[in-house]
Amino acid sequence: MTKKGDSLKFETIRFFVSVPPKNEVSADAAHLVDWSKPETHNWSVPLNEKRELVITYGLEPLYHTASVMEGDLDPSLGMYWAWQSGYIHLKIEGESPSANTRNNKFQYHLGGYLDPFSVDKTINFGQIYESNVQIKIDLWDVFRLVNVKKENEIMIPGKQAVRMMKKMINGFVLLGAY
Amino acid sequence: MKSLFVIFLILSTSLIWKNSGDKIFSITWPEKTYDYSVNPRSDSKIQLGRALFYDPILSKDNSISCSSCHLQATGFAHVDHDLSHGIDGRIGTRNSMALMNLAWSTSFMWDGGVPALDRQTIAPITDHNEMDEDLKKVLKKLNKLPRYRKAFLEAFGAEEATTQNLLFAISQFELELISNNSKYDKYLRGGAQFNEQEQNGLQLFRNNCASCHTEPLFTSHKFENNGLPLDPTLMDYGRKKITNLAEDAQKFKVPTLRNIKHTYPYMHDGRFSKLREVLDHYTDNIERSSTLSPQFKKAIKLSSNEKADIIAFLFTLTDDDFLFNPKFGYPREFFSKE
Repeated sequence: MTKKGDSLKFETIRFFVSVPPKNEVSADAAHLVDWSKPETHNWSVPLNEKRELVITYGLEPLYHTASVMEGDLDPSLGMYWAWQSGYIHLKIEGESPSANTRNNKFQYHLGGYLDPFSVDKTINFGQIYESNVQIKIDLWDVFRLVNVKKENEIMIPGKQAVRMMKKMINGFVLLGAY
Repeated sequence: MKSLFVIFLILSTSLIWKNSGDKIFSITWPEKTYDYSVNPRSDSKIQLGRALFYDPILSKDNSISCSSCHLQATGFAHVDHDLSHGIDGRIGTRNSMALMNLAWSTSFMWDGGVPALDRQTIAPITDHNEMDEDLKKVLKKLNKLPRYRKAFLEAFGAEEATTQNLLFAISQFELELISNNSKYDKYLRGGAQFNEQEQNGLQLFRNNCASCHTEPLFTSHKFENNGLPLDPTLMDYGRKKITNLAEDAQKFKVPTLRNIKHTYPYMHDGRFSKLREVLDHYTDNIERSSTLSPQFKKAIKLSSNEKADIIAFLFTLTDDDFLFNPKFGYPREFFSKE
């Protein structure tokens, strides 16, 4: 039960995390996290020259326009829109009695890489000296801010997607070493 | 030293064309925009791509191929169909675009929703109104066939088809679709003569049309609102659907005019079947709106004879070497094996 009084059941939580590309895209620099697949919850990330951990929640624009479509960037993995080419940065689907939709489903497919409606967010977590750090995705924190009754379906890029992604970023927190 | 000089001479003559009006008019082809470094050109990829282009295996019920809506003899457009077709007789919302000189394109589809050629094919394969197929299923179907396993091995060094290699192969075939040998091209190179009507048409074209239909590709690659009234049955706002910006309402990609004699019907929704209707639209029926292309601020005025001259010029953009090049046709050999 969230603070907005919604009870939620999650079915799909998938999102990209990536290292911002310099000039070229490499498939290794992007990673698709799938809640239902624990093996995707670990990812080795290179630090930048200043030993800083810089991670994008989603994928920066170059990933959407480059020709690299291997590994997690394979468009057949269900995280891709064809009509408006581009990856879905984050997909959350589930059920809630508050969602007045068919089968009480809520679906957030957050995509878009063109300004001003790009939703990727690059975060610099600063210098890191540990070899293992943990990042927490706190959905409790996120859905504190989401009103599932009002907003239960976002499937295209635009203002709504940008606003929702801002809420999602609130739950993306560095916990520190473990 | 001598050979160097000769090469220089050939280069310079190919860059500067002599216009019949005794005016030197130079038109150079720009650099290709396609980045071959990630997908280097190879004959085996081109042949694989050609087979895929002609194979209905890409569609859900194996009934529709790329060539169903992109026919070589009509400049790889869908002649006589205002809107493109898909499986089960489904009808799309736009006219299928002519395919040529794609190596120079900067975006794809009428609304530019696809930023790279390598990603374009995903749209027709997965679109409900086109092939309505899942990429994974396409790969599964291909990987069952020995002829494709062999072709993928030859092209990419791996038997198993992947999404990226499938798309790279189709790109390679499409990149070969170069049309640069029309009467117009020969005229610029000094190898063909324009009659008086064609010459006048070229002049009128340069004065009235060429700011968007820029030579030599006959497109600026930009998105423009050319004053077409919105079709209430389609409500297609074009580029705005991609950018979500009001300023892009009713803007569509400026299409190339090469081989235009054969690529009818015209416009993003195929609303005009004759070039005369297109020209009549530009002189008489431009709808004024806030997003109208600034090129139409001053009305275009053309007499009936002048329109005939422009059309005569546009017909010089027909490139039979392209339209009937056997290298671009159905790969009978590939499919007759097995």
